[in-house]
Amino acid sequence: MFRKTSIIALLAALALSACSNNKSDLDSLELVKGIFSQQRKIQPSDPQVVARSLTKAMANSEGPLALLHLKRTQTTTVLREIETNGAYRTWAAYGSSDRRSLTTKGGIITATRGLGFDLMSSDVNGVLALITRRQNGTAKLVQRYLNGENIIYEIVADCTVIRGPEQTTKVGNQTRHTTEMTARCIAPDHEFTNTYLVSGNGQIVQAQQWLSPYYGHALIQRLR
Amino acid sequence: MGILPVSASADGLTTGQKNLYGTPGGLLDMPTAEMAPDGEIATTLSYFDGFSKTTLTFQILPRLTGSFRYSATDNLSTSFKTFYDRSFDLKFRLLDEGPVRPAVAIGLRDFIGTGVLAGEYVVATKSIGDKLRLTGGVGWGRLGSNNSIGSTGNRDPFSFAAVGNGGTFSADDWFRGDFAVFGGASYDATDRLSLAVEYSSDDYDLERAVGIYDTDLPINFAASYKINDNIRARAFTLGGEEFGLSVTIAFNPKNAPSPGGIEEAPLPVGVRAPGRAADLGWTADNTATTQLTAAVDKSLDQVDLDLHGIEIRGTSAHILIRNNRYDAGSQALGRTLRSLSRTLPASVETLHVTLIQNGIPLSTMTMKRRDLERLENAPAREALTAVRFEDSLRFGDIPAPLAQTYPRFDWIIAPFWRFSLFDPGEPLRSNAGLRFGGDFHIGSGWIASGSVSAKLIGNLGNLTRVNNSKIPRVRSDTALYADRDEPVIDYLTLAKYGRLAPDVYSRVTAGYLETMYAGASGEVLWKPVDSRLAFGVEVNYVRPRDFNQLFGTRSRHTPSGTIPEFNGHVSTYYDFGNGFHGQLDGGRYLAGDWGATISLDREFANGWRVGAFATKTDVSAGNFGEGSFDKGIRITIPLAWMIGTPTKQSTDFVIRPLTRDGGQRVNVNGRLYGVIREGHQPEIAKSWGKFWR
Repeated sequence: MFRKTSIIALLAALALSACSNNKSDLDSLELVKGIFSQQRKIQPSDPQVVARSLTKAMANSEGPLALLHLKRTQTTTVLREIETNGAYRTWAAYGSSDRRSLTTKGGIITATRGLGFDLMSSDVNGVLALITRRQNGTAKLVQRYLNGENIIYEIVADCTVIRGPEQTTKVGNQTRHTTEMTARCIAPDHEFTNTYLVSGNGQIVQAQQWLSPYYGHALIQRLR
Repeated sequence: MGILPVSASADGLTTGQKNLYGTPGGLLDMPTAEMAPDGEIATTLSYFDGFSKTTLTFQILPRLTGSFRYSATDNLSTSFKTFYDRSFDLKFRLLDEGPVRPAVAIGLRDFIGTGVLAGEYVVATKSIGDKLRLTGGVGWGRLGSNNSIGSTGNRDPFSFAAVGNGGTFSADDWFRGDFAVFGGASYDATDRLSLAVEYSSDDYDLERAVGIYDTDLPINFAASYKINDNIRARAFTLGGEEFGLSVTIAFNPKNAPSPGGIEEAPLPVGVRAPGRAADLGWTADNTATTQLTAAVDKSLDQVDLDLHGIEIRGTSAHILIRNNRYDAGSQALGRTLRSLSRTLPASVETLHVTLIQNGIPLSTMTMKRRDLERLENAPAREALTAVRFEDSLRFGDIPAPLAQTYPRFDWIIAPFWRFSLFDPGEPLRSNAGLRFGGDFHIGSGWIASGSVSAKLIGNLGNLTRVNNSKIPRVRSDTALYADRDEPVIDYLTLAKYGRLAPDVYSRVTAGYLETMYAGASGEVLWKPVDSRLAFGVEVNYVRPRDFNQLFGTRSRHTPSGTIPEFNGHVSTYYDFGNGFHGQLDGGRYLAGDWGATISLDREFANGWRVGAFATKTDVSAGNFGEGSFDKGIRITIPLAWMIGTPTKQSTDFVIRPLTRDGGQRVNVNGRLYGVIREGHQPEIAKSWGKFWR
């Protein structure tokens, strides 16, 4: 009775578990890795490991550094800048050959690659302008993703930006004087609030922003 | 004035539940006007006391459902211990639900089979609140057999004597004969558990007459439980006397396990420093080209692309690549361009990338380097408007293949699993074993290919269907070919792919073409790079191979006729651009019969395809035998969708109710259309979002 279903599973397994000289063909090991990496439980980061990595990065590298925390996976990663394109900076994990990356504009995450459920691109200019000027106002925030069909879809949110209190924030080893800016955003199927800490010269030193329906909020801190 | 608690359901009156017939609906034996979510494909197995049904259902469009069913009934007829039957259903929603108006659907059950399950209906379903759905309808055929309230003309009753070959449309009987009303209610008790009750208008007359069904009460109950997003189980009772179970496994090609994929990040675009573009100093360096070739090759290698050829001039570069990894062509192109942005001298402004497959150029894409730099963080659609696709032949001088390109040998060792469905002795038969295959790329467009397989286990050779063919036995000797314990040669061919002119592609293949035929096959395809329309011509010369599938061929004379040496087709391919693809082939089939095949597939941008085909030739239904004409369903599942990382591998299923000798074609590897189309603009544009992934 249940044969037909097992057929599909069996056939899929058989078709995949090939071995060949073509690096592009999947072998059985990769298949197993593929299936498990999709469903793997990502371990939350150990704060001590993160702290060590941070100290090491600060001491042994030059150039921009940032810290990323993903709420859903409870992971924290030290990022170093690997490329710039105009106002956009692309970051990758410090001290790791892990091929994942993240792009920011003015301290706001505009794209991710290799994280799964990637943010493909964003239009953040309106929100960014209000935040860096520490002004109240409204602006559109557009975030784009690939759907299951490999077609781009957009989440277009209307955001109300409100200037909040001034505060001192510890970022990395420094204490910064910042203004809290809040963006309350409403999209057709989603509602979220982003919080940005802006320094006196208009730099976003920390952004707690909604990344995607899958990840929810991410926190990115500019360390250097 | 009271306010009725009615409103249209938020989900457009869709359901994940399948009824006893495996079609979308919250009731049991009775249909509803509910639909499955668009694109869903589901298999349902249902069983009660000697009655089983296995149904494959596809939500073809938001308002159209198609189903194929294989049912087995014990002791239905004295001629068979178990009566196996194949049937097709269609259901179309005429009206969507409104605030007060119910959704209304019209449907046909078993409209192209023997008619043992035949019934037609018009049904209305209304949701009341979020949890309750009420259904009422009127049915004919089986659905008009209990407490009929009237009649609309004459309907031929089902009889085994009249089944004949089946496969005929008995449109004269649709919505004819006695009709009766039915109804029911379904209620979502929790997010996972749903309950249903129905008043059935199917009296099971046929089954009652032979004493295998004797429930008196036409009231049925069901409880359905959603185990997860893909699996549901049901328990039900018919009239409180028969008890049964069903299980549904559903997938929706639109819902990938990992949308966007989990593969590694691409390299970021390398942006040139201002003013550097004017520096042509490198062109004076004699070793620059060699070094650049090595650098580009290494960079492409990191993303699993093969450099096939390269030519760099002062301000432009032309790169030939072979993409054996990325199912989305846009991703291969995007990654190639980013590699180039990081390796080529700053003066190179115009980037040409040619996709090579089977040794021939499929298309050349051109992008300005400044656009690549400028659009990296822009919406993907902007990059699509900034690139141009052209026929590679319009570039008079495409770079020559690198020295390392030829010869090269690709091999694979893989398990295989071949199956045959619906044999009367055993509905599923299969062989499993190991296969060794190789492709030897000798030179531009020249490929020698071979495959040997050895059965390790299986019962395909035991097919019990009696070969009663009345036309040349071109396919019905399956069992004789399958019943081999020694290794067999699946195919062994020499092929030459070529470009005859702009927009024109050619293929010649000779040798042992497939398991049953040797010979030669020639094909020409016309397809402009940006066209959704293509035309092809194919001519084949064939000799039937020995049953042992080694090097010999056997006589073309079979007990029921001679297999002609020549067959061939003219084909039209058209991508409707709305997710549907059509193909029309006309010509001479293997048995010498003349006719045409029509195919229609729904294609998803991620590579899923679900389609159906039918072939009618000048072989009469009587001479064709059971099924009357060749038809079937085919499904392609891209493995990238399943595992979340790019691969061009996919799994194909073709389900034919029955394979007979009419309307059959020779199977040749590497038919042009599928190969060429992948590298052309319309196909690449479909999943363009992957360009920046």
